[in-house]
Amino acid sequence: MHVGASLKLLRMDAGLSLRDLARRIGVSSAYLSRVEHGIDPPPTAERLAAIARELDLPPALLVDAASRVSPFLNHYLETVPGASALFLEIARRRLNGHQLLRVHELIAQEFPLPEPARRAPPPGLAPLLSEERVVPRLRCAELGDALDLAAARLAPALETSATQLAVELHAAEQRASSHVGAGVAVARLHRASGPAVAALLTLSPPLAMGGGAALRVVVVLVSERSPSALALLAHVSRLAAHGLADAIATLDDPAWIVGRITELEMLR
Amino acid sequence: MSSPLDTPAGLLLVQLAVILGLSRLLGVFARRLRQPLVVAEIAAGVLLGPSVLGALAPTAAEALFPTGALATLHSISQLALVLFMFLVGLRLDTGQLARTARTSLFVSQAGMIVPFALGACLAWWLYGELSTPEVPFVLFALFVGLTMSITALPVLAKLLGDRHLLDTRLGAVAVASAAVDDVAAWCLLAIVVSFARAGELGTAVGTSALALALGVAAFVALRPALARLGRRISTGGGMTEGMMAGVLVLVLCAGLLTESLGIHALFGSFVLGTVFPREGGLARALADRLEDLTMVLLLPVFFAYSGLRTDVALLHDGRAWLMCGAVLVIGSIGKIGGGALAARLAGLPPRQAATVGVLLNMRGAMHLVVINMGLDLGVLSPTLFAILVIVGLTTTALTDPLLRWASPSDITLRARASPATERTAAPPAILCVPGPTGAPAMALLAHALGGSDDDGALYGLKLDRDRRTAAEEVEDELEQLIDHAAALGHSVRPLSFVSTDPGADICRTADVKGAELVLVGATHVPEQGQLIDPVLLDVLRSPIETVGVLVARQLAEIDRVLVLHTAPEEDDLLALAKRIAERTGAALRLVDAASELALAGPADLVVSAVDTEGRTRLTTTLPPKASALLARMTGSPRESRGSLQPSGDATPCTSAPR
Repeated sequence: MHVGASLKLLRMDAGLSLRDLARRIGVSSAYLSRVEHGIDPPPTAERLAAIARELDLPPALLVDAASRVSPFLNHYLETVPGASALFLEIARRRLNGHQLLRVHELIAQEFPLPEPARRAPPPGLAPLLSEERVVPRLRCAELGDALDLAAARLAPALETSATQLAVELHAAEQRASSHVGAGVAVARLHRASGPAVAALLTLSPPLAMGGGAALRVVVVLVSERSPSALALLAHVSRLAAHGLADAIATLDDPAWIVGRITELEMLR
Repeated sequence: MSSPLDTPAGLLLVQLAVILGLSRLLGVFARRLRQPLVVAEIAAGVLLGPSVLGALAPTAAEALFPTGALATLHSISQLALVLFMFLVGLRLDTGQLARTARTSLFVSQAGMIVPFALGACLAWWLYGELSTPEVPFVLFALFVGLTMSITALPVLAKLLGDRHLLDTRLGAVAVASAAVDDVAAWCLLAIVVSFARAGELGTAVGTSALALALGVAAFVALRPALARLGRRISTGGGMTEGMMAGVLVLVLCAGLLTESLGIHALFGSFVLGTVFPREGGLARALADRLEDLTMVLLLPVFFAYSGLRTDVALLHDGRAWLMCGAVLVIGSIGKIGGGALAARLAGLPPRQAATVGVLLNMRGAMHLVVINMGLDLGVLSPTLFAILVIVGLTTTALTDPLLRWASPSDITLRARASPATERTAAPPAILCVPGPTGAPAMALLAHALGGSDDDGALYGLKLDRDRRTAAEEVEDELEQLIDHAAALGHSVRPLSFVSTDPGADICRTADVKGAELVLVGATHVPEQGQLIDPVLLDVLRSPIETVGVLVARQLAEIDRVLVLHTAPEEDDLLALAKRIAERTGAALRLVDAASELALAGPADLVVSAVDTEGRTRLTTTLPPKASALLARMTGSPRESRGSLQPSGDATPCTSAPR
């Protein structure tokens, strides 16, 4: 798993060229390209925050998606040793999503962040899904089949023809692979208008892709092109990095899958 | 009370109001006629000039544009040009230019060389007619050639954008050739202008080389600083007025520099515009800020000033109009032909290449800029200037009709829809497993139904309602189908998933795959009064073109096929049976009525149509001597297909009206 693939998709959806973004965050485009292809390690938390600022995303989201939390935390714990005790307390209580949400609210209220406080929380995946748009345990020969099925499930909600939707999805996939790593592909379709909806397919057996990685979950996001669409992509990448595929791969019931995702993204 | 026209300021305000008002008024008509705004603006200038207003109402013309007060308009139009060319440079996609230059510089140049050469040839004839001996012929020929080869890049980009053609290959080729041509033309023009001013070619080349060196120096020295500025703007929230003033001073200095070198002020601002970095939003922010003022207020003044210098009355005899026609025709041939040639060399099909040529023939404002320079320098006579204004206006106005002639309106659609056609060759077929029929029978039938060489994809669709437990055995069945089909030389693509509504999912999958044939297995032909399987029911009610229901006992080979053929409109049923016979080499036999089935002898496969509009010709059970039955569902309306019609008894029977 490398965060590069997600960064690339986010950059492309934001409509920035490689050179453009590199220049804005003050790195060479060669370096950014190596990161996007997973040759160089993920950028530091500071650099990710700079990227997030350019893409108009919550910095924490990107840092988390890149699994760069622990170095960041370690650094914090080294400077403020007292914090370790607090984290230990939380860990010992094995707080679940609901309880963490309350802790989060308390922190946000007591110690608001100076600048991005106006930000609404990033949108979640579960609210965009519905049981009809979840296909468990798909076996197929190629990603195109999965996209076709997703189109078939999405078409009623978008009041469009499944064929048209499939053509658009295939074209988007041809432009750039939607594989974000960790066995998850996030196909995005930006339409001029219409509701934001998502479809999700779990692949069983996993679908072998080029480069050795096997695809286990395909998420299709359809929305208008907007900052929140970008935040959603970052959010799904983060879910992927945190083991979305493992969490839902064995589930057979669309309702369970939606429930599991709701639980996973309780604290976002 | 004195007239407002008496004071210089009052006069200027009235002039500006008239120019702007008339431009916009004509702009409304231009839009109706699908013409670019620039046509209206140039036409407004000509209308206000001696050609129309001056001829019809000389007193009003003299009052509105007194000869002595033209200097103010001249100054404003020069400022307009400097800012306009800065904007052109700013909007020029230097990145694309660099890419194009690497791959197809030669190709793009063809679009320039052809009109240039034709224009120079034309100059041979025009020189004797319309020029004076003071102007060297080489200079005259170069200038006419240049005016012939210039393209209105900004108008072109806007027109392509309006038609959603910018992202297509056609659009890319057109913009790239126009950009490459124009940059080449401007470089050449710089040499020509300094030549005209200095009087000899050596000095001109020297001056141009100096200017080029300055341009490179500007690029090296200014770009990093400008890039830093751009970053500050994109992170720090916008451009301050101080920065704006700084940039404007820079633009004016650049113009001043080239002007004092003896080229022309607009070259400096154009080059400066190209130097600005595209990343970081500085170029965009600047262009947005400057565009309104320049394009709406200043540029129409330039057009009006050109119009004031255009006197169509100078074309007083047939010979002059003949020359005008010749310039128009030869200029258009050169530009359209050259552009089309370039596009053909770049690999576009003929029709699209012609479209590119037509697009490049649009001359717009740039042409006017060049010929104004020619008039200022004394290279072009007023008569030739008037001719060239008419030519520029006509070619720009002709672009839209020619474009509609050259490119059918579905060109955008075709460019967009291509991925779909690539995806599938023949319509795919979907084989639904499980079937009680078993995988071998399904594979055999799929093989038998497959066309001879234009096989569409075959999908083995397995929908699993009972989740996990069933999933394992179901995989086996799909695996069997794939294996059996592979033995017959077909690759079946697996497609299986957990479905809460298999019937709907079969239909949806068939729809999205564009499948024209769906094969469904059934345990038995429904007995009397028995309801049909709900999944089958869903599939039968869908708008899928052909649904085959396979009922098989033991189908190991297809040697003898009986077709229950009852009505002439079922020729497609016969075609289906013939396809099976062709593929398997089976003997085909037609049976006219179901009652004959019993007498027809043993058969491996009975092909029958089910028409559910009240008449049924389907035997309610498998014919005694047949191993399998393929029922082809036909007829409409689909809604009526509640269940297969029960018939009187369990023996083969018929009620076929014949």
